[in-house]
Amino acid sequence: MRPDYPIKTARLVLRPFEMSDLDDVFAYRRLEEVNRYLYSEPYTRAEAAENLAKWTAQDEIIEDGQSLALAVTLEGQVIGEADVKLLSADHRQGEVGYIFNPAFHGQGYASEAARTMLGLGFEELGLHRVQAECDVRNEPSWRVMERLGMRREAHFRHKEIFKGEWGDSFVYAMLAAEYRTLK
Amino acid sequence: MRPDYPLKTDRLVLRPFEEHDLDDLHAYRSDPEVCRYLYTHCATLEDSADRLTKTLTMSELTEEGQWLVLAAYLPEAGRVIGDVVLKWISEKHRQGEIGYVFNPEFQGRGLAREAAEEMLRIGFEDMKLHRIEAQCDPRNEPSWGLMERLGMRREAHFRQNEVFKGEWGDLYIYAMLDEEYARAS
Ligand SMILES: CC(C)(COP(=O)(O)OP(=O)(O)OC[C@H]1O[C@@H](n2cnc3c(N)ncnc32)[C@H](O)[C@@H]1OP(=O)(O)O)[C@@H](O)C(=O)NCCC(=O)NCCS
Ligand SMILES: CC(C)(COP(=O)(O)OP(=O)(O)OC[C@H]1O[C@@H](n2cnc3c(N)ncnc32)[C@H](O)[C@@H]1OP(=O)(O)O)[C@@H](O)C(=O)NCCC(=O)NCCS
Repeated sequence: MRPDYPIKTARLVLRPFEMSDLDDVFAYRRLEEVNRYLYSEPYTRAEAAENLAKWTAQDEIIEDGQSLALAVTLEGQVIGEADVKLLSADHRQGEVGYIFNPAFHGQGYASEAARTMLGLGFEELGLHRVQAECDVRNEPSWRVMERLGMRREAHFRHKEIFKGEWGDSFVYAMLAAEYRTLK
Repeated sequence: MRPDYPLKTDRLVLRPFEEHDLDDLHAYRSDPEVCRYLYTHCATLEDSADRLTKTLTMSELTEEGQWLVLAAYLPEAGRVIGDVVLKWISEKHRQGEIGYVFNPEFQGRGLAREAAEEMLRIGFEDMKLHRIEAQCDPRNEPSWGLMERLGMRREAHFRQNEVFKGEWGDLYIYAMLDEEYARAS
């Protein structure tokens, strides 16, 4: 699956990453607050460049386990990223995620981009169910999931050690039939 | 970790499978009612023999990803009436999973529960696991009923997260933490 780029929403443009996005990406990926509930740690500039190189090479999904991480841009500036991952083609399952620059939080941009990724999952990848996961303390993240109309399906307690302590996580999901009703 | 066999509960003996258990194993593994909510289909005698061969060595846990598979032998009946498993999911995160399959002739007597309790004991006490989970199809009420009797909590209800035997299937995940186990026992 390779979407028709660029993807335009009401206020945003989503497209594959480019090496020239380094400054914009590093601006938020280097922040402690952005990484608080991510498996990653704040990037050095070199790490940002290394990861960016991987993302630019990845503009389509062919098989299980692959994800498409897109740059979310506002007036030409990258303000965050949103991704969709194919978990299983056999079971038509996928997952979405999002990370935004704090300077652009609180304006519905993450929700707008995430809704686009759900659309790619259901319409382009033909998924039956799309899920999203987050730390239970990451309320801004699960608020996005609820705003999109996803339902909370799991609350795992201590399923893993996260950044040195037992972590709890939520799994939210939406089915294709629900997506069609909401649209 | 290798349990000190044979393990004894009030009414059962739990031990690794042995070559001569084939008939007992096949008796329930070939039963459509038993297989209804298992990922495996009804076993032919050959499937059961394969399963038995594989399980013969699953008597200890030395690295994550392995399964401990034990035969539940009921002395009063002189036969193996079911099997219980403990999977070591993760060493770093100290996670495990239990499962059970019993011969319908011996269900409804709390025997599966007795065997499952012993697997929780091995997981929490011998393996020092922090969390043990169990999964089943929500339609499999005898299975999640047992999870609840064991004191596990329902943590997940995934809707249509997989194609199960040709149709969309849901999944329940139950779990228990070591601190909950310690409080209960
Ligand atoms: C998770 C994350 C992307 C959420 O960002 P966000 O800006 O809060 O999310 P949204 O885009 O949905 O914006 C919602 C907020 O914008 C407000 N808003 C303003 N205009 C809006 C509009 N047109 N539409 C929707 N919401 C709007 C909403 O009221 C809401 O405000 P509130 O938080 O005060 O209730 C962000 O917190 C983040 O990047 N975190 C760090 C990385 C991370 O943890 N990612 C998730 C990993 S699981
Ligand atoms: C899941 C399964 C192992 C449960 O077996 P079970 O015998 O119902 O479970 P228990 O050992 O907990 O027995 C409970 C029953 O015994 C009764 N019982 C009688 N004496 C008892 C005693 N001394 N202690 C506890 N319960 C007793 C209970 O009241 C209960 O009866 P009920 O089902 O009428 O309420 C069995 O249904 C099975 O093998 N199913 C097929 C395979 C399968 O699906 N496995 C799970 C895959 S996820």
